[in-house]
Amino acid sequence: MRSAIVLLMFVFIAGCGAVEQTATEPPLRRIVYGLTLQPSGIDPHINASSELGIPLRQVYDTLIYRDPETREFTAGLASTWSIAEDQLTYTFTLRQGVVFHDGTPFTAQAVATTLDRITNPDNGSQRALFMLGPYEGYTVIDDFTIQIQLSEPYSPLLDSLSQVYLGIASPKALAEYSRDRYQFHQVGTGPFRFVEYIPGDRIVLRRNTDYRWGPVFYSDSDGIDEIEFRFYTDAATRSLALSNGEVQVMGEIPPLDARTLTNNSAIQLKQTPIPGQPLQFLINTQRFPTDNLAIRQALLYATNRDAIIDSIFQRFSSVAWGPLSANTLYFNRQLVGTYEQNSAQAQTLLASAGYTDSNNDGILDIGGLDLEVTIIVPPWGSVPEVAQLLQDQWRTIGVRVRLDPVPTFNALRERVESGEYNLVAYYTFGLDPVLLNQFFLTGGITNWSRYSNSELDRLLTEATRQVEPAVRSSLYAQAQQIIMDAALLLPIRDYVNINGAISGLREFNFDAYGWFPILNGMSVGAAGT
Amino acid sequence: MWRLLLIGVLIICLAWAAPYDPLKTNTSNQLQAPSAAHPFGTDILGRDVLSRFLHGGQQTLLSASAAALIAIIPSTGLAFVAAGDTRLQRIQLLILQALLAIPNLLLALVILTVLGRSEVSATVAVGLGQIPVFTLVIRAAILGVQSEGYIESARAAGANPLWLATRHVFPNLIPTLATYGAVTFSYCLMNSAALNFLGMGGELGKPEWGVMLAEGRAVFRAAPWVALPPGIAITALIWSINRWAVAQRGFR
Amino acid sequence: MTVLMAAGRMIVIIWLAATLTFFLLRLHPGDAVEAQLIQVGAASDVIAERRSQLGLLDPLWLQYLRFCAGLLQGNLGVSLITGQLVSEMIIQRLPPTLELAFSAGILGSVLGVLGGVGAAVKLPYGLSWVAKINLSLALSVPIYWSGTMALLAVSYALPTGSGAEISRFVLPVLVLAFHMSGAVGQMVSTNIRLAMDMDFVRTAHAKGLRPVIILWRHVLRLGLLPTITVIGLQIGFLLGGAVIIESLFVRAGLGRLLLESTLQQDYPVVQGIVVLAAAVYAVVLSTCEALYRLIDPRITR
Repeated sequence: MRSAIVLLMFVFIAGCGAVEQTATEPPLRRIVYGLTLQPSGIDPHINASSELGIPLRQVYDTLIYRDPETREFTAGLASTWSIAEDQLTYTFTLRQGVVFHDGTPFTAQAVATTLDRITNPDNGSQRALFMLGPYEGYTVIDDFTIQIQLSEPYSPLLDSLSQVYLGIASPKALAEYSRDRYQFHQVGTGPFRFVEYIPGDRIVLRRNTDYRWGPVFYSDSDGIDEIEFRFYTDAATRSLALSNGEVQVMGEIPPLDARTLTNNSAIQLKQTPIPGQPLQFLINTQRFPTDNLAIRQALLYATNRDAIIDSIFQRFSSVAWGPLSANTLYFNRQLVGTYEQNSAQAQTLLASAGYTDSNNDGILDIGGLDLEVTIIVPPWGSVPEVAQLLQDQWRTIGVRVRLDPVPTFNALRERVESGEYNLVAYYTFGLDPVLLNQFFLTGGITNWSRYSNSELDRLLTEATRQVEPAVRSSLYAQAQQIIMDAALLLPIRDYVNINGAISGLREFNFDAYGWFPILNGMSVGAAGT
Repeated sequence: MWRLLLIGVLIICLAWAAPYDPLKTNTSNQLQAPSAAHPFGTDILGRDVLSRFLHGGQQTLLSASAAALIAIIPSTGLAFVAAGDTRLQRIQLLILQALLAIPNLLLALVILTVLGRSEVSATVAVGLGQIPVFTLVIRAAILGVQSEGYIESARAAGANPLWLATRHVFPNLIPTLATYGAVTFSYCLMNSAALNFLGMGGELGKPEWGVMLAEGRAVFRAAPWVALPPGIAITALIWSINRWAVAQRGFR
Repeated sequence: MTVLMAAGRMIVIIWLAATLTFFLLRLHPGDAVEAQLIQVGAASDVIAERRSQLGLLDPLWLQYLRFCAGLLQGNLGVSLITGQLVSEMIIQRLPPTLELAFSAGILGSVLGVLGGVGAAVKLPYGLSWVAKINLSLALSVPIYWSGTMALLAVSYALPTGSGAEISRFVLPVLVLAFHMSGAVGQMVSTNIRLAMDMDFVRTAHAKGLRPVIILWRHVLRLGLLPTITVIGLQIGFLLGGAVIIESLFVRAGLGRLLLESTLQQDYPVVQGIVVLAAAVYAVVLSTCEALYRLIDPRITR
């Protein structure tokens, strides 16, 4: 009896759905875009999530942009800029005739208000503030000229200014809404205006029809009027939502589902390599047995990265060779091919370090101590599967692996602080290799290899101060070589952001950072084609 | 009862019949459909699903039983301690109700963060979560037994309360303990599977039904054979426990 | 008098639950502020300053007193991560949860009572059998398993494009109602069977009253009492902890807020939700007891 009722409901609802379906024949002017994380806050000046950039990149313009093709800086809200000889003063000439979504005209005062907001300690900025580096202050020269002053040279500043975290907000809206309310009423100058944000449920954007001041690589199209972003935190349901039409675009499809979707003509897959760090395991140089260089190198040689990429990542990624992925600025090509899998080499290294299997249990030992390593395993990025493969791969050369799973970044950090680990999976993204500083400078906040080398410190610090690309490139090449010679980390695969979209979607592209789509030129052909 | 125990023993023993090492990966052989070599197919890392299923049964039964004991023993103790004293009973009732008012999952999550994620702490978290309900059930049963005429008169005659509790009250509770204990066991099974779904379960990659179910769910569209055996087994086990418990008379 | 006592007990339960949660959460070092700032590479003095601004470096008893004082004024504090008022966050997340809890609650109770009666009495055409199997299944399948199966079934069975509303609202309601009907149905059928064995029912049978009349007049009335409790508690449970269903079906309810805040150690938010859940629980408990008295005046405590 009960199942009959349920069945009836099903039929009834299915019927309604079908009727609605036939009514929507003309091209879609509105799409639903699936996000993968639920950011705890979406204020780009205050919060840190990279997920928030996906919608908000459309709401804000930045002073400058990076062209996704050439990766060179190009004009944004600043039409030109210059850097003083001492590299401490940056002067920006601003574009005229730009208007915020709330009608406020864009002037130097807007830039000043945004900078004030980010640097105000009461606001507790979690990311934007740190991206400004040794920021000292600004001077408004006139309505359309502003200078930013630094206390010491900091070449990544332009890179920071091209990111959404330093997007320019309307001074009127910032004055009207408090620090906590502003995230629900964001006002920028971008191609889409912010309509509403309901935490955990949706973010809605609507086209800004007055938009005329986009960077050169923005195409002029008005294909989509409205975008609704929804959060799909459970990876297993993402491809389902895409194929049953709940969403028209879905971020981060799991590789196996992506493989299945390649046979689905209604779906297109968009693969975007993400610059920054690869999926990597940092190796603790302060704890037995990985305090020994030979052991660290042996672990690298014992790893079959191709097997990992073939199975878990379904060949959607390429092998990573060092602390930077191949499409990051100043990636050192010399590293390609180093530490290729070589079990014999691994075993020789272990034997030379004095390890033998004296008690015949299949695990090598030295002085009564088994060769056991502990890996801290966070839940994201398929790290749990990768760690299980490592466990089995290393077992064959006589290394026992203990997996220490942690549910959140918070828990991960705690385990790291205890020092009781040999490897930990952690990595960040970005185009500028300045991100290496926090990982490899002595005392760096995520220096979880616990490594200190004055030469490496010098190279990294100098590279941050230098502006000339050729100089930086050579400094970073040396730094990457030192890092891999010391086997401070085990790189696995370069990150690829696999997005799925209905096949009728056109002009679905990503910016230079790989995570953030450029949605203003996007359009949809006839529904479902 | 005996039939249930027999099934349990069988599941535990079958682990030794597993054809392969449940941890051995073979990536060139991933997600193979069931075949003669792998009757239940292989998972994403190329491990034999049948072997994992058989080892998993043993693991799952043992840890769910441990969790159930963690719930049953302290609860029974708590209920008895409070049984003699009405004021104590009232305070206990309030605390238990406050605990019940806290969402169950939160308790488990907090316990897991404090103890660190491992097989043991997952078991403890699941078991501790069942204490409030179980204590209330035993409490009600004790009150029921105590109100029986002969115990009341024995107490009025000045019989030693401890002697009364062990000789008369406890034996009368055994049916309730057995029935509700089995139900608690099935709750523990269900909840530890739920923790695995939320990514908070026991050891990574361990052959365990809850873990397998969560792993299999992620690949369900490509390889349904990974999740089906543990899914069906958990359902069938809980089903038979429930049927048995319902068949017992005094159970509500 | 009894009303006063019930109100007093409700307050004690809420306060106890809040206090327990407060201290339980702090058994573990660290907090959301620390975690967030380290992730973006902030220096340790910046972190210390941020934490002291939020009062997280004060002694525990002082933090507790502040929390209690806030609670008395109806102030649940602010989120450590977003700085939003906790009460406001809860109000934002409440509608999807309420919607789900009440739709599933009503449907689940109806199905549960029907199924329970169906399983307890003899029905023609094997309907009793169907009811029994449904009931057992509802109690034995892990909820995320049935949820996943439902999602898959819909994705195969329905045309592309019709998915959104079904999988966001109808499916979670059906799945939750199915599981709830298990608990309710079992209670109903057990009680009916117990009641059928009672003397007055046997007498009624002996007197030749029609079974349907006996069922309505005597048996269901008796079975109603514990059933109401189960329904109440289930709805309370839905309000406080429908985490799994909300994750599966992409719903932004309280359960997910609770899970996220716990994992991120955003204490004020967790406490706020616990206070709400405890209040709902206490109200449900007291209401059920009041209903008991209404339906069966013999019960006094």
